Amino acid sequence: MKGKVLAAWDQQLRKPPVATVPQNFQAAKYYRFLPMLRKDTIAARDSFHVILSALMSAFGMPNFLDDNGYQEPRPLSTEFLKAVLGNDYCAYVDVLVNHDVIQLVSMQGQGRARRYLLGPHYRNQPLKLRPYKCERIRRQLRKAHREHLLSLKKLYMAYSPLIYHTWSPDLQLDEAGALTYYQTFLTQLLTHA
Amino acid sequence: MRKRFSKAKNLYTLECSFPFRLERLYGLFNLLRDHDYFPNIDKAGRLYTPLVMLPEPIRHFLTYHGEKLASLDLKNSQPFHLSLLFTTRFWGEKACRLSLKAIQPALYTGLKRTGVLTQIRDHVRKASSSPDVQQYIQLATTGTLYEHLVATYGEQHPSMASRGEAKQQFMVFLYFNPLEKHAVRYQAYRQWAADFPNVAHLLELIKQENHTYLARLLQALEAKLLLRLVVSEFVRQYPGVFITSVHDSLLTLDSKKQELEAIIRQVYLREMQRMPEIEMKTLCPENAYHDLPKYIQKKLKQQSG
Repeated sequence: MKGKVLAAWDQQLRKPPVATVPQNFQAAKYYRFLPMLRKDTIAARDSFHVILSALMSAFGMPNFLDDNGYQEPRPLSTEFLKAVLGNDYCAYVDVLVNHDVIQLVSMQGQGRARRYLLGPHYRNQPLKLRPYKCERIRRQLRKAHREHLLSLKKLYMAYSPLIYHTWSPDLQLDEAGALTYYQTFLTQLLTHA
Repeated sequence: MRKRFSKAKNLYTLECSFPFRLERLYGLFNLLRDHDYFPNIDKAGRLYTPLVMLPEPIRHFLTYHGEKLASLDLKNSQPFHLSLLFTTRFWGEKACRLSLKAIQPALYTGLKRTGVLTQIRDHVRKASSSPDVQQYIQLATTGTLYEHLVATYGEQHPSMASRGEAKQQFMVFLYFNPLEKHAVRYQAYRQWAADFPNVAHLLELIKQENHTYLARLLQALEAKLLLRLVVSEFVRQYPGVFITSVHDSLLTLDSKKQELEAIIRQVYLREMQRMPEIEMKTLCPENAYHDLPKYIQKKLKQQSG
């Protein structure tokens, strides 16, 4: 049973995003929010926009962040998540629905999901329990959630100005110019070598 | 014969790595285009973004809302920050803003547990006013440390013949394992250590337990001063103006570079009672092409070295 759930999950991750970013979202807040979500989601880029769209649709961006740019998001409804994320996520939704959305995003990485669900020593073990039945999972999620929030808060509060601007769509790279330059550089390097 | 072989080998290595280099660059372009970043912060507190990974000349092709950017580099950044380690306040029990206890608590505990911290404190107390330490601080503050190395040791040691090479060599002095200092390749270090005995002794004390401690310490100091203090002050004074960091340099709008320079000077003067030398550069394609021959030479040396 290495999982049916995880295999299905994997398959889901490879699909293109099913939801799109709502048109009325506020770009600035969207970009401010990204670093909080992205820290642990490197492995799950494809699914990220799905989750983010779901979050934005669920909460509406204006109320999502407080004046300091940081707020614990409110819980999502199971039905809503099922509708947006599809059936493969359902097994997890029941566990996650009362927890933080950041946690939900963190769960997208397979190894991470396994570690959260079965503990650090069972990283390579197949999943044997239905997650929503296990009290232990709830405990672990709560703990991981607290730690995760703390680390994200630390990261965000300390580096938000830098991250915010690095994320801004106003930062542009002249790709054609850069590529021409780099090719010139490599060609000359070969000539000199 | 040996030279010809090494040239052929270089060429072969370069040709082989050509597609990989381009591929890596394409990867970075994609990240920048999609704003698909993942910020990361290392143990020392340094921030990593795709901008940090971007090759230095390629940053000349960046704009913010169509406006040119400027980079402000701290000259002799790490040697300059090293001069702070000669203050007793830095090693003190009290966790003031720029103290080991505040910036790297784990390192502080480790050094204290092994008794090295006491040795360092004693050494700093005795040596901070010695002539070699004072000379080192002066060279690091005026940004002439590497020039001094070239002038003093350049003739005897080809590894310090130019400023760039001296810089590289000094980084080796800072970060190599002192247990290997009697090896032939560290002859230059031994000569430098004889001229700056108190500075070298402090470096060796810090690296006694683990030779990576010094690197971590200097990087943490740099991150604390540049990222935490300078950037936050800049953001407070000029909210909404673009700023980001590439380790020892800061990028901002070209029109705001003077303001950022003033803030860097102000923060350093307040925290360290001395000001670093700052090199300001406008980022534009013309400057990238202008520096191209220099960049090629640098890369060739790295390839052969």
